[in-house]
Amino acid sequence: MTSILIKNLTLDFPIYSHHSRSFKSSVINKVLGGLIEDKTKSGLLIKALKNISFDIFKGDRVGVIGHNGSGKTSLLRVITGVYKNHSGSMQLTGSIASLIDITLGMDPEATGYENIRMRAVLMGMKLSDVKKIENEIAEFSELGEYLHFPLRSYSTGMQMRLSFAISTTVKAQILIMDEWLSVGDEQFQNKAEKRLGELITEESILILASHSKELIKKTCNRVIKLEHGQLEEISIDSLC
Amino acid sequence: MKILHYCHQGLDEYYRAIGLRDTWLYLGIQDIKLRYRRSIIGPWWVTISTAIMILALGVLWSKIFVTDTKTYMPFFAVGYVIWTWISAQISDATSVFLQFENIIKQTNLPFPIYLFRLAIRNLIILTHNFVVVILVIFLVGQGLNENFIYSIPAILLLQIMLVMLCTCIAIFCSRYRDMGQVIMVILQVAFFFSPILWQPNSLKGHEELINFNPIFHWIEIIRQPLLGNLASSDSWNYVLMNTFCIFLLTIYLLGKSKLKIAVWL
Repeated sequence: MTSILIKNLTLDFPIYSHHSRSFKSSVINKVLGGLIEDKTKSGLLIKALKNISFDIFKGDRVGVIGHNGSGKTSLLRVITGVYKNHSGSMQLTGSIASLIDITLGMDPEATGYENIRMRAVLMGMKLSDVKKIENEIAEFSELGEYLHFPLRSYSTGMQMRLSFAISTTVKAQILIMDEWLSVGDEQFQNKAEKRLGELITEESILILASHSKELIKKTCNRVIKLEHGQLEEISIDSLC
Repeated sequence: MKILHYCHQGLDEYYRAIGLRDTWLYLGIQDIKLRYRRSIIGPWWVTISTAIMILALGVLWSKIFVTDTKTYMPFFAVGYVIWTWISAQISDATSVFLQFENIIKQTNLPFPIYLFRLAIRNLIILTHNFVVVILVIFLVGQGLNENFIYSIPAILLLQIMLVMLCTCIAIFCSRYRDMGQVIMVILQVAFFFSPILWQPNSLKGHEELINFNPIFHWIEIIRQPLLGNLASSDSWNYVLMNTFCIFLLTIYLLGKSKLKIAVWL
């Protein structure tokens, strides 16, 4: 069953000063055996997430709110599996699709079709499987013959349509988003909304970080608030 | 016990990366294609510049060293092309995780795939440069004989070793940013210190200067078969031993630091 179980998770972030970045100072430190102890040189440790615990199950649409630097991105990255150096435990069942940067791995010089492949293999797909979804992407993005041309010849809206189409074609149980995806003109936006709606089903989990309380009220059924790396679940009605 | 755990983690990371071969193969090929997309002769520019370099320097140095151009040119061509391949991979490795920082910070892909991607890029460039080597061997030298077969497993072995070595270097350089500069200096010195420009027999009794130089053996197992000889078993043993040690080092280092590379960037 799709779920994310997080228990007592703490994420420390080392901020290296140029002293501790350098190999020379590390060696000198070892050689001197800590004779000169200057804590300021060993760099700072920022606690991005402090001892957080919460469980998410299928059907949950979790909105994540908090100020800049409160740990929203760190939390999303921990769940995606980017930051693995945390203490505590995280158990994750189900496949993840990160919709944080949907243009990741795309290249302006490559054609639309090449970009489909480049983006898809970065999501861990096999080339033979990409072939099967190419037509669907071409159809959904409404780019047609344009897919034979390099991406740089597209308008911004067309580029977004393509990357949206690729990123949402792979079905995953856990969707991670940083702000809502809005792409293209009005007509395409409706289509995109519908597609996202299909992705977010009763069987899946959505985690959406956002500054917009209205968006979260509209989309989510649970809200967590991050403040200085500490997590607190608040009721959705208390959002104003 | 902790060491075993790290090694196991590192092996696992490699295993996952090899499983994603469509990813690094396609992206590596794509890197080269896109780099040269808008030029007419594309990656053959590399071939041309290597050809000019080898011709000009080959003639000059064979005069300086007072050797026969017919034997010196093939020797220099093979050594130079192999060295270009080795040093390009190592210098790419010093900044590879920084180069792919945006991917590393968005996905949970195993780290070796970035090194594999670089290796594919550099292998493609090596094949283009090999045209020059083959031309020099046939036009200036005496052609290939049946021994050349041995250069193929040699290139494969060296590629495997280099990928693992580059993984260590990449990890090291993303933690300690000034190591990149150190590696560049080492590469420069290594080029002149190793028998690429000069032939080993000109050492005249100071063979210890090359016997303990790993780069000599790396190049030698590929170079000798292409020049029609067999590489000494000493060289093969040396490279095999190198590979084994680097294998242990890389799985340990990767297992130990794979949790932290993303926060170092």
